[in-house]
Amino acid sequence: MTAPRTHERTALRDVPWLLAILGASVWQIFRSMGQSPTVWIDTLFENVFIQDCLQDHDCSLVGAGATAGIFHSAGYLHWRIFLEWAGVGPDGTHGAILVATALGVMLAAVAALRIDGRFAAAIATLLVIRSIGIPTQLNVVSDVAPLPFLGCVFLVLALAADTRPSLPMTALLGIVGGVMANVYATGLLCTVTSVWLALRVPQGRWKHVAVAVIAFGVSTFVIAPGTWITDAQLILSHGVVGNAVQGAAKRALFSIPLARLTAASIAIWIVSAIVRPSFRRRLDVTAAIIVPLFVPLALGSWTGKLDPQDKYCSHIIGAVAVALAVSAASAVRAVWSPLARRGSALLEQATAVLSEAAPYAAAGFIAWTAAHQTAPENAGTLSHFTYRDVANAQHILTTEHGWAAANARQNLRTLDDAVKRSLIEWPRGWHEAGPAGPLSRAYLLRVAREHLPPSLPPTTRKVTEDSAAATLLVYACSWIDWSSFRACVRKEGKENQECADSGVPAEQDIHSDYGTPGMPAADDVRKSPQYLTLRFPLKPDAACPVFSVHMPDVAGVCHGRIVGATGASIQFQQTDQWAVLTNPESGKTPELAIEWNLGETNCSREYRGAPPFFIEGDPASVDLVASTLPVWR
Amino acid sequence: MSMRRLIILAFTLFVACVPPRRKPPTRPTGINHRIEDTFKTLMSTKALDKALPTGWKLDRFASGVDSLTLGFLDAAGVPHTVELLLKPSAGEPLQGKGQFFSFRIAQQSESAENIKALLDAARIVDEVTPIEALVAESNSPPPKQGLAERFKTAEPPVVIALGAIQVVIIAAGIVVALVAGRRRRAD
Repeated sequence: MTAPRTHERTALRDVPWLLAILGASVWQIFRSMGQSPTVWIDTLFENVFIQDCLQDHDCSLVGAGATAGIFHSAGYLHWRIFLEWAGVGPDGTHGAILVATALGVMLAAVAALRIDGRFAAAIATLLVIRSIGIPTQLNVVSDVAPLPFLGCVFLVLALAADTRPSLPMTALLGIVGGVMANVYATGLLCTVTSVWLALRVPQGRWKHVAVAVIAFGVSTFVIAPGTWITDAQLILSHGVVGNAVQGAAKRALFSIPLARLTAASIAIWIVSAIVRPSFRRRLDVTAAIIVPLFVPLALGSWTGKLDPQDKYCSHIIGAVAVALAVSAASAVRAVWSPLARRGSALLEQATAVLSEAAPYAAAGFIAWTAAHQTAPENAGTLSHFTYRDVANAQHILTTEHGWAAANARQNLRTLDDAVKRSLIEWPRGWHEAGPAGPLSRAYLLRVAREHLPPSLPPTTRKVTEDSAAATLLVYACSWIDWSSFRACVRKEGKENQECADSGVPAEQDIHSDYGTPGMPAADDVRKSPQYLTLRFPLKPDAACPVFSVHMPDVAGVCHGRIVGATGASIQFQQTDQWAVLTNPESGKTPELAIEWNLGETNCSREYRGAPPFFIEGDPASVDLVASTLPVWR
Repeated sequence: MSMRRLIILAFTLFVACVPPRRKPPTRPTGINHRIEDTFKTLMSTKALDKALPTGWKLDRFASGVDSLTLGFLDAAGVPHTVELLLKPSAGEPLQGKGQFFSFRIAQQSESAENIKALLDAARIVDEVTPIEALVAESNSPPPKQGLAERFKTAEPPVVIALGAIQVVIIAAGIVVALVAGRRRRAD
């Protein structure tokens, strides 16, 4: 490998391979993350802020609460509000984040090129592409998703500020850091980087430090003053306790892949400071970005205050990749160059050509992986519902069945309530009022291809399909009216049941939580384990003379049992997990009772104050839905 | 650009971008949801835990007209209650005052340590409670907003502009970084 010849290059020569990397990255990121964002509970919380702002003219300058006990992300919410106001929908927002991330990959390559050369640029490109993805929430619309891109912007700007120091450049670096601090709280650490780099300026360093601090402070505060006022109040009240849940298992720091890479890059920087200070200087800018994040991350993890996660390293991915790439390229060069020099001139020339071609090879490799990515990374999982899934399902429900949002609230069943809520709250275009009958049921399911029935009955619609799975909407005829039932609770160790009228409301405020009125609150259940029995007064329907109930045993679902029924014949299918009801007694209202042990580990984690999922309806539909759900505990 | 100019520019931006909050035109019903949601957020972030002695836990939370009530149970199951009053009666014994609320501790026999814990918890709630939600229900005139409260909400044009400005800043950052680097290599 030839030594870097930075001064001989012109920017124009680099443009083709940089564009190749950008194009390949766009392709690969869209192929692996999908063209539509995955349904995600935090996106729904963000949507509430957007709706409050654009519809109710109540825009927050405080932002959302973080698990660490502070408020943040207001700047990111401003950006989402700006996009929404400009008419950019969820798919467009997701696409903008993905394209920006691909641009970030290219910027990381630029940074590595400037420090070392093309070979390092190629390695950095591959490292960034390898590190981003689902762990950095790139598949969803969230405040974490833009961070790898913003981190790469900060990196190239930091390099520029370091090589050509000037007060405007220092100020711009501080302002970009201020933007990042308001996207995600870890961006606050950019102020340390700005000051670190300002202290490296040969002349007028204290002036640079002052400009860096003022630019960062002012931009941070101006974008979201409420955030920092509130956080200051919370911190002064000792209200911040870290993100670690008391009693819950915490991850070991080095079980996090990005933490390992980060530690490796810092170790190289420290070792080179001792062994080869000239090499260390090439890594100083990346270290100024990496160290301010890694120190609190490691200390927080080792003192038990912080549960480390990949996402906390999102904004330093570019810097880590560049530091490792420069180190690797230098190591290869140190070994290879003497060999090449001792060999023929042809070998030396070939080495130079290979080094020049390396970024094209990296772009080609990325394109090759994109071509072989048949479906988004998590497409095979049950939880992978995208915005397109829920938007298409909503379109089918409104156009084919005339449903309003109230119908969906009461009659749509999903394994995860977040999916149902996304379908109701995210897409627009619900009818004001829908059909009055409460007994039509719809199941929205993500079904792995191997579990798809060979032919779908007319009651089932395929909403979307990819090479890994399909999203199905299964209609059923039911005896249960979800708007009215009784919820009975028996605390562990007690015999008496306390019952309350319950029912899924037709209207629900978007600010409210997931609880169903009359059901025990999720927090209470976690404090004291209890048994929940739901008693459904049944409304037999002539359209479905036989009614079937099944309690599926699938991950993410609180698993219950059928207690029994009155006023109709009930026949259990081998166990209390599956029953068929027939022959309702005339003049009586049959009743079905189902029980859950909410103290059971899975239930206490998954219960959210709403009726847990089970399958009910005409036997054909219940069989179909049950056959598509894999048994997994 | 001189530092003086930078400071003046920053201050001008600050004043221009963050006007005092005007009252939104209308609010949907269910105002108490906002107080409850704020409180749930507070609970989910465990912000109260730090203020409380070991073994204490929140037992109840109630919002009434002009008041909030926080009830805690200590490790032995003994209740401790602090009320946050928007309009305390004259002569009412109060143990503390926050931004908007006055604090009254229900039990007379609380130890100094417990009083401090209850007041710390009350202060945290006082700081994050959306005061306008409580005021709207009580028909009281809103208390004069502190400087801090003025900066917590804004009108859509301000927020949209702030969103757009961030896009411009990042774009400027990319262009400057690329151009500065190009110049260096052309040197």
